[in-house]
Amino acid sequence: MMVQMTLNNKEIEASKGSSILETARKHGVDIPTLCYHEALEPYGVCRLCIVEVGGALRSGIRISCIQNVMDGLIVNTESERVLRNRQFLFELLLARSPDSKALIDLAAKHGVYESRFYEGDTDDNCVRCGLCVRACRDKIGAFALCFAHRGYDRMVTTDFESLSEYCIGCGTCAQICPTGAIRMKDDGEERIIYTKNGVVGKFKLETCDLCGIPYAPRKYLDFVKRNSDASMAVSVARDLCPTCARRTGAINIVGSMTM
Amino acid sequence: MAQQQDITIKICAGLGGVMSGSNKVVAAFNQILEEKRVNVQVTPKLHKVGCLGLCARDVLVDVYINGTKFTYQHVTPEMVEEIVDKHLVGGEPVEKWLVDEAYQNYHRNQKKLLLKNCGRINPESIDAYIDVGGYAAAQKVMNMDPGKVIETIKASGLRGRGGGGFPAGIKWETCRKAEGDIKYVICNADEGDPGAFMDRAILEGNPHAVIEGMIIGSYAIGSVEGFVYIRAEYPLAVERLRMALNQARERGFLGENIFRKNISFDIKVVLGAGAFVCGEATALMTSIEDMAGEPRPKYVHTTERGLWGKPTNLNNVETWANVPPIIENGAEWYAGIGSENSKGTKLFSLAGKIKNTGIIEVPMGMPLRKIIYDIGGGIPNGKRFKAVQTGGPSGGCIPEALLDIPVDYENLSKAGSIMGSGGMIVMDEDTCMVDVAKYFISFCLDESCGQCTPCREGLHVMERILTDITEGRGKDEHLQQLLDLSEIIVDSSLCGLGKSAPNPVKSTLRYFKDEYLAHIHDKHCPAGVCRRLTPAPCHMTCPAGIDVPSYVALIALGRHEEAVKVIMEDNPFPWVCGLVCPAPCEGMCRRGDVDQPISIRALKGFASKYVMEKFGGYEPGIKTRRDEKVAVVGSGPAGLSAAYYLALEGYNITVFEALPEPGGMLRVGIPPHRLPKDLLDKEIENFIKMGIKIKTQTALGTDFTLDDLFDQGFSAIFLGIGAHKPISLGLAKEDAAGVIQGVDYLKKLNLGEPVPKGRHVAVIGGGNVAVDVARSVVRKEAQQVTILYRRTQREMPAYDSEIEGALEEGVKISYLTAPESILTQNGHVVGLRCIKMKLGDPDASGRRRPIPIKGSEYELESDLVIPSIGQTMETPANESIKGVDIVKWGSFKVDAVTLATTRPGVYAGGDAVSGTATVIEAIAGGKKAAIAIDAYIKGNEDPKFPPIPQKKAEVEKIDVSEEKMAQLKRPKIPLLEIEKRLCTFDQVELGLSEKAARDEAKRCLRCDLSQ
Repeated sequence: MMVQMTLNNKEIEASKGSSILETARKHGVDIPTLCYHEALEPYGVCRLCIVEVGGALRSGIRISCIQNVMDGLIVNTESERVLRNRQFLFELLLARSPDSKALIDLAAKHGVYESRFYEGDTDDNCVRCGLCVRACRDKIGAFALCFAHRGYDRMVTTDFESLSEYCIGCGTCAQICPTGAIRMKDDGEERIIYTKNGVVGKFKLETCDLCGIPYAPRKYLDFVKRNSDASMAVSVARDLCPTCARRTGAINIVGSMTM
Repeated sequence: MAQQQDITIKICAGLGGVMSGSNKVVAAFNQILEEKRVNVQVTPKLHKVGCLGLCARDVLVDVYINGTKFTYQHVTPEMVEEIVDKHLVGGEPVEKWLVDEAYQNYHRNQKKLLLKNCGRINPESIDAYIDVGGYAAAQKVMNMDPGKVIETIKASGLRGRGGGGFPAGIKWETCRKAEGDIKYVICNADEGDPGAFMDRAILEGNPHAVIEGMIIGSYAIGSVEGFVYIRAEYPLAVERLRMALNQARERGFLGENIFRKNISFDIKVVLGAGAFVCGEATALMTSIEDMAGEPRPKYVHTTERGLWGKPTNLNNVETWANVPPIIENGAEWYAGIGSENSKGTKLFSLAGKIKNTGIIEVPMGMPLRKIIYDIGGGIPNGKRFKAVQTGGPSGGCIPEALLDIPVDYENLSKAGSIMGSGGMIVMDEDTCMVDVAKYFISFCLDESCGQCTPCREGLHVMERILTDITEGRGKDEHLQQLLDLSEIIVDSSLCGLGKSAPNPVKSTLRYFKDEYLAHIHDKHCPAGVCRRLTPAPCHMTCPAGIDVPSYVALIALGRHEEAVKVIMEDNPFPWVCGLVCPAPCEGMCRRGDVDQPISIRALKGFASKYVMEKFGGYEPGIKTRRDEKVAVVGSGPAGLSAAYYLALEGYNITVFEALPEPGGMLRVGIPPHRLPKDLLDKEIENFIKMGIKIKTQTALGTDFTLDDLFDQGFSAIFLGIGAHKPISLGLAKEDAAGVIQGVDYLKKLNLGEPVPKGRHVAVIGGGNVAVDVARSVVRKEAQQVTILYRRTQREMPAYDSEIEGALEEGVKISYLTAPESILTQNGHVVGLRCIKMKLGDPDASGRRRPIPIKGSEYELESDLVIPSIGQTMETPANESIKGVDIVKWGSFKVDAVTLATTRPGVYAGGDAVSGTATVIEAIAGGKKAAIAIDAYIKGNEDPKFPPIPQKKAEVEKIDVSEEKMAQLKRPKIPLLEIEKRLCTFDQVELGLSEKAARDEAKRCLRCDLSQ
């Protein structure tokens, strides 16, 4: 079902049930975000995606990733009020994370090049978007990461801030982190996943049965096996690195085709 | 007493009462009544009751005798026996312990709906509640249509009392209409606002009222499960609530088939865990769901999807407590109380600088002034009202000018504040509004959940800015930044905590902007709160603004070098001053109010001597050398200080000194027994090491003019030529042999020239010069030295310690004596004709004028007469100081702030400006002129002179055990033995040992750390 609404003075059609953010992006309007990811439930905490609304909703500020569209809605993503808020939000984020290239680039894209609030004593890249926590908890299901403490001290960490026994070493957190605050490093036969505050997970990398290169932690492989066996109803037998697995798979397919 | 009496005793057991010891009072009553049972005709009923309201008067005891109430205040267990004997048994109230008219006024001006029973009934008894009509409303409701119940609440106009002020009836209706069978009702008892204790009073004083309200609500909405989320910091309330719930269950008011209907409803108690943010509705629900209390960002009403995703009606304690009376008495009755848009009554907690701290209940719309003055009793200790913060930590501060506004939702909002939960924190003239703003921002930041960027990062930045402002680092752009950040945080925060956190900042900026400006521009806290901007009294009173508390503390810690560094920030003559300063700081020392002031001067002397002996000198760090050169005329304390502070800035300094040796009055005025000359040399050596050149025997007027100096390329000139010209007595034969002016005598003595000798010496004058002369002459084999002073000891300007020393050394002081004429023989003085004086009315200086007593003349034998009645500046020849004006009494005319003379580039300070004063004042003048000269040379039109002295170090508090603190006493400074003092000019004051110094320094109360 579609709804009729106005986006930046243009009348458009939007799918009922979609958010203002999704709709705007579909129509080529760029709204900055940090805590939004298509694969996860919107969180609505970074506040960068704010827009100004009117019409069907009482005029004011709304967070576009958690506000659904409706008939008669008027949305402005570049009003003076929105731009002012965005300016300060970027400056506040940069004050704490002046060295994150991704954040610097995103801010620059929206006209913010430096922060008047930077005091020279912070370099914490975490913007508390929660993508790592949410991915690990809601998508992967490992529950290795969580938020701890309150207010300015709120931080991403593991249970008791020590090496996590739940981390499976998949690295989804590092991949989804928009600012590089949580990272994964493979060094020879070791993988560590870490933040400024400490190490989240440390693993020995298993070697490929075929080619012998180190490629994944045992915990991760077990996790994949557990979940694959359940969904595929067959057993995933051998420890193969992605390259060898692809080759083996291809060979099997060709093999079965020629039969 | 033969009559039967109906006696009931009610003892306040609300929290104020319990904290004041009501449990002990209850025990005392129980014990004494038990003992006296035979004398009392009827056993009085003894009850603990809830909060009686005026907590400031606890422990409050209401004694009802045959229905008449007598209220005793400040009751202690020791008072109970007399109350029982005199009043209960004897029938005579103990008048002196009864409450006064003010107490009656406090209550008379209130309108008690919810508090009616608090303080009347025992909160631990359901029967007590039922006896006054409790649970009748719930019973009534059970026979009503739920929709009708909601209509009643809507019609009453009841608005949520938690702070939001949302119409309760509409909330109930939305929840009732929401889809789903499972619905919840919640009571928000997480009263987190500092200074708010209304919900506490209700829960501790009448918990059944809340339960009854929730029963009615659950019926109307269609819920079978309720929760009370109560903060764990209220153990008494938790206990009474649980007790009440059990009692309600026993009576069939909760559980299955309540009120014998086919209805179920029960209430669970959930404890908070110390997070203010859990008072926010969605965070509270998240907390009940066993997760960390974090508000939910989504735009969905909790009445549609709340606790566990089900429709939930959450109301505040006070809101629920309003429900039974509304059902009992009708919506119209309720709507008749209060103002147009704010119906009913409101509980307020009066806290802060107000006489009657406690709980009150008034109709909405009562003027704020009436609440604060008529009910609250006004401000204690004769202080002036400044502001009242309403609504909790996110409330605004309302100034005096707005005190007449009616207290309701709309008017408070218009004034920039909020109703909030009802906390009212009153502030007086001693409150710093910037500090208040900082405190509440810190609170909100501390309690913020931290999810959203604006609140988490924005409040952190605001806190930093406010800290900078209160610690003297405020900048012009800060105020705009605070306003901008406030706007952003209000606009884009996730929840109410963030959205309202900037309120205290916004409202204090709106109404008290001048306080912010004083902090930023003047580095001054007008209320005297911000300790970095409010110096300790010793620091404040030092003419040079030396950071006394810091260096005293450093000495206590054994960090003597650092102590000297702190001193030298404002005084380059620490050793000299440690010996000769009159120490006005000691006169202001707060320790002196307790026992004896700290021996600050001796401490300074100790540290300087220690560092000088250990390191051979002090090491000032000079900034990059500049090209400009500055001339200083006069090498006394004023001149050398100006030279020092300019040299630090990199200027090239040449000091021109008329006398053969540098030091000014330090050299030629103060005798060696007070200020040894080798000590002075060592201290002056530091200046020379810095590159300051001193040219002696070069005098302004005789050897050069100001024009010459400018011709020689000096960029600026400082005149510190002191006041060396003695004032003559105005008597004939003052030029006879054997008559020498005091300063001339001392100059000869100090420069090693022969001085006239005498056996019967008369010194005329009462200042330090006279006493210095007298003590010097004593050392020069005089038989008798007499000081003649025309007033009494009380008016004598010389330092007490000097007078004491002189007397010890055998000097006689003849008070109320003045010389009339000088007697000579063959051109040499042989005596003085003196006359006695008496004191008349005060003259211009404020001292009583001496009046000669006719007929009291007498002759004093004397072969050496030394007048020492004062000095003025020796004015150089007019031509040599062209362009520099002189004032009437002979000193240089200068600008009061910059010390600039009337000629551009020429500055002056010390005795040459003020007339004879102290060394430290001369040093202060030299330093101030240095700042002005530096600005002048750099072309800075508007040099900033801090209006108050600045802290130069942050020294931690020193741990001294209470025992030790009690033992420490101000030490007597060891002095040279009298025998030696009479024949040598050796230093009299021997100084403190290191142990004595460190112990003495530990006595300091650290007024710089207060608040």
